[in-house]
Amino acid sequence: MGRAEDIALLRRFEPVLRYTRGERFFPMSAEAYVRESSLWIQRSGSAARCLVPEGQLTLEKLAEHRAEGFDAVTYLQFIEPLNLADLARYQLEESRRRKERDELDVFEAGRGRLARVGYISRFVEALLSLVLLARGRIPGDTAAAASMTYERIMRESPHTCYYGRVVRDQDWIVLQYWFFYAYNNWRSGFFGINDHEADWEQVSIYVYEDDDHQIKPEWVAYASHDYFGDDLRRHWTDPELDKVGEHPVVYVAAGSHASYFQPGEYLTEIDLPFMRPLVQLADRIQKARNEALEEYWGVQLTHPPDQPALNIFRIPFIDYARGDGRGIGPGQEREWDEPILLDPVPDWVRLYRGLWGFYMQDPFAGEDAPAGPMYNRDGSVRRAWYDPVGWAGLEKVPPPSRALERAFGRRAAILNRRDELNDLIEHTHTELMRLGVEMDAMRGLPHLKPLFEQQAQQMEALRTQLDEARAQLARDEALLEALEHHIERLREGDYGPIRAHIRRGHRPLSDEQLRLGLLAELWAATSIGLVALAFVALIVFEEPLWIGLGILLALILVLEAAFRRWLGQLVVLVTVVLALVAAVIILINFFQPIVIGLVVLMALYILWENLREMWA
Amino acid sequence: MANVPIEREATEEHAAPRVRKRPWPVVAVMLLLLGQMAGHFALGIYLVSETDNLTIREVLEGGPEAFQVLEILGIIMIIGSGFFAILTILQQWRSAWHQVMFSQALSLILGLVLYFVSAPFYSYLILVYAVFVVVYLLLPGVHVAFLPIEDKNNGTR
Repeated sequence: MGRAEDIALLRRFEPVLRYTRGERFFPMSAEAYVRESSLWIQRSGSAARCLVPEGQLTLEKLAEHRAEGFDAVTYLQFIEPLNLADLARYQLEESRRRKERDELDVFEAGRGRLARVGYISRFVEALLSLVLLARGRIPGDTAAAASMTYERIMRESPHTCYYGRVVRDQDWIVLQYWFFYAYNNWRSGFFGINDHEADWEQVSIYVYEDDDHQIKPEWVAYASHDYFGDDLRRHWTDPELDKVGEHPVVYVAAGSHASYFQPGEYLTEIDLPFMRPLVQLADRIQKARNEALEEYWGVQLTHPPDQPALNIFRIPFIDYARGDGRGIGPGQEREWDEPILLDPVPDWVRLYRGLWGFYMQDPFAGEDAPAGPMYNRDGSVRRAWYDPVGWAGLEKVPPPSRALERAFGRRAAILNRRDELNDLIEHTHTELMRLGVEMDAMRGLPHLKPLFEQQAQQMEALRTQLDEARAQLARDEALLEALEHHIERLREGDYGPIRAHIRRGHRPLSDEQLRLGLLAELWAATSIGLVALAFVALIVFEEPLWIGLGILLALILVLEAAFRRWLGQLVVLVTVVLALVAAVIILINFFQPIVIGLVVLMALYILWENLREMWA
Repeated sequence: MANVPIEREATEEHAAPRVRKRPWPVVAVMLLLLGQMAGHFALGIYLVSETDNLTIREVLEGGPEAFQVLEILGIIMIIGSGFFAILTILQQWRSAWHQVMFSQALSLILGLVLYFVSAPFYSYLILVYAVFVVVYLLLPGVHVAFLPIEDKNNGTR
């Protein structure tokens, strides 16, 4: 297919992006961004060095080959953070303009935002702000500067575009839509966990050519935080997927620009690297417990046993993808410009492996800018780029037009194997018969002992081979039967359930979860500050300190647990810990009597069992 | 733009009548709780008899006498929570299992405080009994027996 056909295909299914009110950054041209940026290099242990200053950088210059050493990180810098005076001026201007702004540009977190995330999240959020202050940065200063620059670019060149790619892989045609944002202001704008310059997001639509050479859409996959594989995609006819004509609707999360199928507010859990061992341990414990409950006591869980529902060591944040803000795409207030085709892959995509925004050297990597559409931060190629079909778990799924053919292919292969197995079974059986007869004849004859032993070994090997062949044949028979049914269904146009592949579907918070009391919100808003003040009061007034700290900790735990409805779990946890301590105390104080008692019990039990058996 | 409505999973109303007959583990837990309450009651009587001539002034001044009063208050709380736990079991409340667990937490706290302060002989009895009840409660078969009948049928926890 030619360039024009690819562009037509991309345009036919180009997605509609629906944003949350208050979103400041929308898909833009990467070229305009690069023109405003400077190119830098950072080597470990030395100061960052500017390679190309602002105003001189172009996409061509970005693609120039640079071998700067193993420890070097190349990155773009879009803006300089505002100083305190500039930020104050900006905020003042913003609050003045806020009244005049369109309501679509104003974000309201809504009641219960703080209460919906845990104490640890609120603490991390406060800590991040403090860390930025310690680095001489004001939370939101970079976002404010980015917003100003972005608005200027949009005034000068009001283009809203995406980058498109058409990949023909196996039986699928993958339409990839890449969206470039100048800034991710999730933390400073929408109470999330990170801010960073540049953001590349992606949506893939999987289409196929039917028997009449018509292009038909089948699957859609949206990139979203830590989701991967089968969980990323939805069927074209899935009611969860909203569409405007032939254009799927993407609900873009405010600030983070993660993509969702349904509008709403999503609880997103983040792992901190240093907490990862605890996260994994808690996951394993939950998994083992869930499996035991399901397998042995028949308690069915709402989550699959290997997908723990909640992990207290993960930090939850809220991703707002309400879809109540501006819209881009067909039928929306802004239409897409002509797509920019990434085929052939431009040099700036292929050759520039650095970061697309400021390199914060953040140990958690969340505040570092991402790399380009083709690469991960470490310079390796993204899976979504080199294997777009496998990225959404479609490597095992044929398109409907090829499903019957594939099923026939499998049936033919298994029928062939069955014939081969039958031949093998017959041949082996004949051989075993021959050996059996010969061995019967040789039995008890000393001069034939070596031959007898050799044939015994041969017979054992043949019996194993025959067993395996018969077992395989039985499995193939069952498989053939299943394939026959499957082919029958395919002939009737039944391609199977459209949601069976989803193991962990991301759902927005329910209305019940969104309804939180004023008291919970008040506690959430004041708890961090109050606890810090209580801690200071303890240091000043309380002796000994550890008793006061213990009471404070217990109070926080109880209040948090009560508001999060974990009180039951907390009671169990505390009781089990107390029982363990008590058990250790009892064991230490009564070790000898306990051992003696256990031995006596064991002896009595054995006596009883044996005597009972004897009398029976 | 009108969004396509979300297909929601139908939630059936389960009209299955509650089973009146209590499973054996639930009855056993009630008996264990009654035994524990009786023990604590006897201990409370014993401690009260030991504090015959105690004045309010002595209590406010702190020391062993004040601790004894705290001990009696703790026992009253444990008996109260045990009584409440039995009530939740009788009423087949969803929180019955947790209430029993909570009463054991109180019992363990009292036993541990007594052990670390003066380690009287009865502190060990309190601890052993409570540990036994906690272990019994944690047996999955016992936990499941406490689930309301509709949860068992519905497959949710």
